[in-house]
Amino acid sequence: MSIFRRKSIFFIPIHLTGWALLTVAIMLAIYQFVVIERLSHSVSDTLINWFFRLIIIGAFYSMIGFAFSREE
Amino acid sequence: MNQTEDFEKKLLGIIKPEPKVEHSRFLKLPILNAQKSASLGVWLIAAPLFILACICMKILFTHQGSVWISFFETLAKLDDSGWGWFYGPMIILVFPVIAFVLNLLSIIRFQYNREQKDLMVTVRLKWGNIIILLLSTLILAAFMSYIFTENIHTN
Repeated sequence: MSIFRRKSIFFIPIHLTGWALLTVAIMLAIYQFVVIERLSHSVSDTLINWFFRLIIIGAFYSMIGFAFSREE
Repeated sequence: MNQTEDFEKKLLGIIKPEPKVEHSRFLKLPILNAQKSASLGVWLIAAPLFILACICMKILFTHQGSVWISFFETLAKLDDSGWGWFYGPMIILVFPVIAFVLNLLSIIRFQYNREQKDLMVTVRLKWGNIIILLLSTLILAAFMSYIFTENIHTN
């Protein structure tokens, strides 16, 4: 079953399930941004912490993408 | 007419060439796709590399401490924070291990010769995968050294 297509280092959804997963990942990233923004003291503080969590979300998303993608 | 018969006889006399299938014995297939493994490897080592980059920037701008000591301090802080005991080792140990294994499996190929009983291992020179392998080894070595130095107590 392939629900993603790899383009460079990114996994692009080609199936509804993939789009649902991408939406969840984006929603989680936005939620993390709001949480960090509430606790941080400056813009750089927000961005550094948010970027770190964004990488982790991206890593988990890419792991799913790796497992359910096809090579062209 | 005679010429046609001769030609037909010649055609019938031709030996059908048999394709040599010897090369198929040496067909070596990689276990995983190299480019796909490299793309996941980039994501997996990005988080620990980001921590290292932050530490380097801190030292560069404050001129205090060393990379090694700051790295250890960061890991110790991560251990003490709320969910740090879970996502600290996951980012610095589990992610690089996965990246290492995936990229290793994508560049090495095995070939077993049953007659001579020897196993040949060949490495494909895919530089992207090799760089990820080296970086994940570096991260793992740093984390292992932290584990050993942190848990050795002298009485």
